Amino acid sequence: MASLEIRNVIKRFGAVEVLKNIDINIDDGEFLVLVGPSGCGKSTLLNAIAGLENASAGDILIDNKIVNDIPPKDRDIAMVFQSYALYPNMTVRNNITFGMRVRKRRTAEQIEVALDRVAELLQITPLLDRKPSQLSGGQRQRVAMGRALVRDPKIFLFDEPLSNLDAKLRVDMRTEIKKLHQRLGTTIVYVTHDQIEAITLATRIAVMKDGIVQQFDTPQVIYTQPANAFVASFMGSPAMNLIPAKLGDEDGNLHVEVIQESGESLSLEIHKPEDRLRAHVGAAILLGLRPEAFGDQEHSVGINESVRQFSSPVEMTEPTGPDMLAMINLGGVEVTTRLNAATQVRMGSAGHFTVDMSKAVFFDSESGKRI
Amino acid sequence: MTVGRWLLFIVLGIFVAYFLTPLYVMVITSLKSLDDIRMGGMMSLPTEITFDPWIKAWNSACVGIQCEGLNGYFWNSVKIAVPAVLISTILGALNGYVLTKWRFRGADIVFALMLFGCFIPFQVVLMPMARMLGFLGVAGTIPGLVLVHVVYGIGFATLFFRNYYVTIPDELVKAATIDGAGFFTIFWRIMLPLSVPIIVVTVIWQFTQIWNDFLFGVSFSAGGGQPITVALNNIVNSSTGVKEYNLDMAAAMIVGLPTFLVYVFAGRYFIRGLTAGSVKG
Repeated sequence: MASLEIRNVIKRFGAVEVLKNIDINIDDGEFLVLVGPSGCGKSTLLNAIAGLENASAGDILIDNKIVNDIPPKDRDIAMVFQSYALYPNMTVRNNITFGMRVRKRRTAEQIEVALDRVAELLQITPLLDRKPSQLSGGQRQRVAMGRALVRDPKIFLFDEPLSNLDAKLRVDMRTEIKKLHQRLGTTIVYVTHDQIEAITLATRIAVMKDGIVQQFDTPQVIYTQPANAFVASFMGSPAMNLIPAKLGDEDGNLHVEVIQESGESLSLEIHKPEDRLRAHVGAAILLGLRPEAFGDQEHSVGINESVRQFSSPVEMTEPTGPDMLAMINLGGVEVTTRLNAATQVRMGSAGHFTVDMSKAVFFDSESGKRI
Repeated sequence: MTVGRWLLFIVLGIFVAYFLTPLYVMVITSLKSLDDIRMGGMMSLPTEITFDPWIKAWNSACVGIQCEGLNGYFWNSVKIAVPAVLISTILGALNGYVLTKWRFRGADIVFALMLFGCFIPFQVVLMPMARMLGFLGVAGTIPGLVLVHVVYGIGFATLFFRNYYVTIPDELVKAATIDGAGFFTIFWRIMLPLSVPIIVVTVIWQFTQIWNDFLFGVSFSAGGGQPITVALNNIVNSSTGVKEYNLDMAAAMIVGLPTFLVYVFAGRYFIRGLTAGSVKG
């Protein structure tokens, strides 16, 4: 168990800078998820933490000790790979114990005890004498985790461990990884491009793009107060709606003006606007609203002071089971709303919507930064 | 069966006959007495089977002026081929491992140069090689020939192993690195156990090349240290008086037998190994 600190880490491959001044700090026992689209540098950062690649500049600290020049085997970390990377020529037993046997620091009995403990924890005891080729995807995943767990390292590193599994198994294993973390309390760094995995697993998320950490915070903050338009659209499914709008001021009451499909202007009063918004009055902004900020009027539970009402033609409906997604056009873009499954809103006709403006966030339409 | 299939089998049959007829002639001629050869036709079966030509070829045929058979030269070839095959295969495996899993700046250029080495004609290197062997003091010796074949074999062995190892995921090496294994531990315990098909391919390829080599053998060996191919040439070319066809054929069979046996026992791995790299698992 250990804390992890990444200080101004830069990584260059030739002239290309793939990590630009990464600064991340987590405490002992935290579950850090690095998430971002492919090519954002998240796997490179994980490799740098593991020591498989050296950072071009900056420091990496495990347990407040700089590990820049310590080779991977001495960093006291364990890693689970996307392809599992099980040794094909060895049985499950030998796969799991390979690291301990190579290091020669423990006796045969100690190794046996450690193996039994992990095999029981992951329920792979019956598989110990099989070769990896005789295992299913989920079983291989468990063995790969077993190989990491058995050494009882300070930090676990996971490199997209679930992306090779089918959808159902992925959800099961996700739950198991979370349980494992709660049970062991070990610090984990986990790389994924799946934002749902990130939100469900993490205690802290670093959203990355183009080698830059866009936002580093708890899942809740990242979801409700994204730092910029990229984070807003990347995290959450369906994505946050980013509606081109104009900020207006009417007797001190701030409102956003959105052009509807009909060409009419819809004015939505902002609930308890923060003062920094006033600097943008008259400017073009992006209004960020999650699909669940919308509702239909008949099912709105207790209309309160932050909720506004409007009507709009419905372009498309998609029932998901628990909800109904309805697409409308606001500000010239398609906006997804999440409504009650029993809604009377129908495709092709006008629907009566509510929107909770206390959930709204605002972005500068030039820089994409949150205002 | 359709007409097309018949046609296919007929064509294949012709090819089979084309390749097997010389072998047939060699085998039956080697089992005939000289009288039998004179009396009968080339294709006719022996009237009486005799193994005398084989025995004579092995221990009393005249190679040049010495009449001790192929016996000693056979073991010369073994002493050349076995170490040369083993050393070049191990070096090829190490090269392939480094070029794929421990890449360094310029690795691709090194590999390209090694590939280039595969295509240099033997004749081009004869003179410089002769100087080199003289400089090292191994000219005309068996260790000298081993060195020549190792140097020449590294290119192909590297090519085989490099192309095989690129299909083995890098993550395996990363996992082993984190597990605490070093350069040679990963090589011995992870890479080599996965390399059986390509080791077989390389061994067959190298063994065939080295066993069958004539040019290096005739250029860089002397007297009793010559490989069997050179001795065969001397048997066939230096006999005076009556041409002993049965002896020549038996000697040629003895020379060809080891490579033939290697193919029989390891041939299916050869095909499997050659295609293994091309299809990702």
